[in-house]
Amino acid sequence: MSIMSYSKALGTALSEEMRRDPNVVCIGIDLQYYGGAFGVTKGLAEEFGEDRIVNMPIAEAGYTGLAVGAAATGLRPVVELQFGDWVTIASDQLVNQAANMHYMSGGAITVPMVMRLPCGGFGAAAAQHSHMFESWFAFVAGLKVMCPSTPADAKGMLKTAIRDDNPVIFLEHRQCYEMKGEVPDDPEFLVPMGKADVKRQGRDVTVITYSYMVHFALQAAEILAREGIDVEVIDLRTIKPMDTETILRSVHKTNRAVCLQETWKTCGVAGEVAAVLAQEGFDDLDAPILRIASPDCPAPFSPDLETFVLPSVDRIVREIRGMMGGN
Amino acid sequence: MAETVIMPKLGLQMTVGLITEWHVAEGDTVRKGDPLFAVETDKLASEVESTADGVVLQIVAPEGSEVPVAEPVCYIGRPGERPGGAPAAEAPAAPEAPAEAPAAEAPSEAPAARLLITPCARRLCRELGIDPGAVRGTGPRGRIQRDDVLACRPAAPAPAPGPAEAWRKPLSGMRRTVGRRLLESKTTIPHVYFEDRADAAALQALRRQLAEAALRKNGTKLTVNDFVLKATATALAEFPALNVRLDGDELVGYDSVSLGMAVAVEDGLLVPVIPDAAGRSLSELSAAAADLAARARSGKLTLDEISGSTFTVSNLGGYGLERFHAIINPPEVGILAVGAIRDQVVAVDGRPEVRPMMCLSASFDHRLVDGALAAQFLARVRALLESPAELLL
Repeated sequence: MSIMSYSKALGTALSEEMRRDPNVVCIGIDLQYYGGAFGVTKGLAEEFGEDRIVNMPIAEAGYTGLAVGAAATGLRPVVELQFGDWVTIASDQLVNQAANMHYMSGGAITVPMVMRLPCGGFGAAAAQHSHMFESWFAFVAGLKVMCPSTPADAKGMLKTAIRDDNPVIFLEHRQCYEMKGEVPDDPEFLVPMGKADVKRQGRDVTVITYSYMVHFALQAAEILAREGIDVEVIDLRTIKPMDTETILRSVHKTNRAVCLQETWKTCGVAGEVAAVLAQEGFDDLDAPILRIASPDCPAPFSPDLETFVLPSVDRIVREIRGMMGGN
Repeated sequence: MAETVIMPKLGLQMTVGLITEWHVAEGDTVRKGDPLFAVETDKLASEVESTADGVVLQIVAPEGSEVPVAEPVCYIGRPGERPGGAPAAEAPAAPEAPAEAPAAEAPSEAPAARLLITPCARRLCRELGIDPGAVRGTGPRGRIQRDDVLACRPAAPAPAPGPAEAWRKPLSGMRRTVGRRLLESKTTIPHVYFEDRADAAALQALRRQLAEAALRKNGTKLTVNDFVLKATATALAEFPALNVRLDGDELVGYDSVSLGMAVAVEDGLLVPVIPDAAGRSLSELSAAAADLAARARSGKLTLDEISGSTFTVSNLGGYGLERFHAIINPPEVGILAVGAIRDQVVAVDGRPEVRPMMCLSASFDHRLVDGALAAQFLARVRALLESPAELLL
């Protein structure tokens, strides 16, 4: 076990996988000696050389397409975008090409690539540098979506994503990069795809969330525990395929569900979780399913307005308190 | 015009039915014969099938509600059709219109206030056998929530130190009904017991003699119990004071014997009734008993077939035990408990002999049946079993 940051854990995952498999390469902007926008690839060029840590111009569609082709022909590229928001530019390569290739080739072609998307709000970075598109990609058949919340998960999940034989969209929250935590040193430490993690056990209400919001949920749980409300926090970790079994098992116990996400409420992951619960966990529900998310408005630049729009620990506490008030 | 599905009368004595489960929801397409809902009375559970093809337009009686016989339960019609059917202006001015008027108006009345209850609380009510209508809801708008139901649960005794529980499950509806009736009988009726033994040698010989012919005729085996039923029915016809039912402070007598026979079924006990048991030949009685027992085990009895018995026979001889005492099945006043035929040493003409003996134990309501009468009755049953040829008359 080592104590390290989320970004360092991601870098460790990359270097371990590059050592293990010479086909793993990193593609992105300023990855070599600058270490990428958030320092994740720092030191990798020195060890693996400029042929495997490849710098790119500001042309997201181009170098994502390059990665799709490289993956289809035998490499295992890991692409980093400076900001996840710009995945919109590269979307055709992911949605129409990478996602479909394995199916349309009758299984002859695999596309083992990872799209690393630094994303998320709380940085006063305005509407083009603050959003998260996990629900877009979770919607697309053929794409897998992962969202680690802790350093250990970041390492174990990125390694699993790299070893997966088809495209994985990997969302790294910018507010998590500097978080530190215990990370297993074992180079075979892997977090399985599609397996949620109960980050806190509780009896009264289940909060289902992922990415940075896991930390908000845990803080809210500590506050509510002092009021006698015992909150269980489920970190989905993988958005797709979703671990519905863990969600349903938890709500079978607590009978109350809060679906929490950072981004826009409409058509989001929280709505998908709510639908699973309404259909498969109906007889376990003792209160209407609560969705906590952002209103459908672009991320404001003003820090005060952004804080107002995004979910807060205080708001989570208040909404859960209201939900339990019926008791 | 939309078809009105009503609470069917599943037995002569049925007045209301409890809807325990809906198999369809509003908007579902159903075909005639599809199961619509499960209904329970205090005597039986049954499925009710759709009487029409179409779409379930409206369910007016939710799960857990008690509906009087012939009252509407749901409406089935064409998609988009209003449950009330054609508007009043189009209604045919048929002569019988006034008689139909109440039924036609019913759906246009405001639907009964819907019980606000969470899915979890509803499931708990079902599992714990609690009537949702009896639970006070403390949630928003008075919604019944999980903890409201749990608060209604009878307090469980503190878990005694002991072996770990292997399983735990709520009692079935049938088990609750059987339990309630037995408790009421045993705690409110002063039971008095009469015992005797019958020499079954002649009965066994006669049964062997008739076995093949009976099988040919009925397709079912002639059993020792058939003789017991026939002897009991014959004796009851001769002692009409015992062929009665108690109704409050009045005794009700009958011209024919409606003989109940206890049948063990999965997780419970049923007492199907053989009407006019004394008027049937041994072979007719045998066929009726076999049919009722088979349908009891497959859950196919109607309410009428388990209602109205005037006396009951419970025979555990098939399990090989010697004797037991039975609890009276109210409102009857007596029950006969029959054990297995076993070889016993008995005195015959002053000498010990090994004879096949059958134990008979009659329980009577001592408020209504005196010892002398009961003794004569039991002696008569014994005599008929020991000289069974009379049963063929």
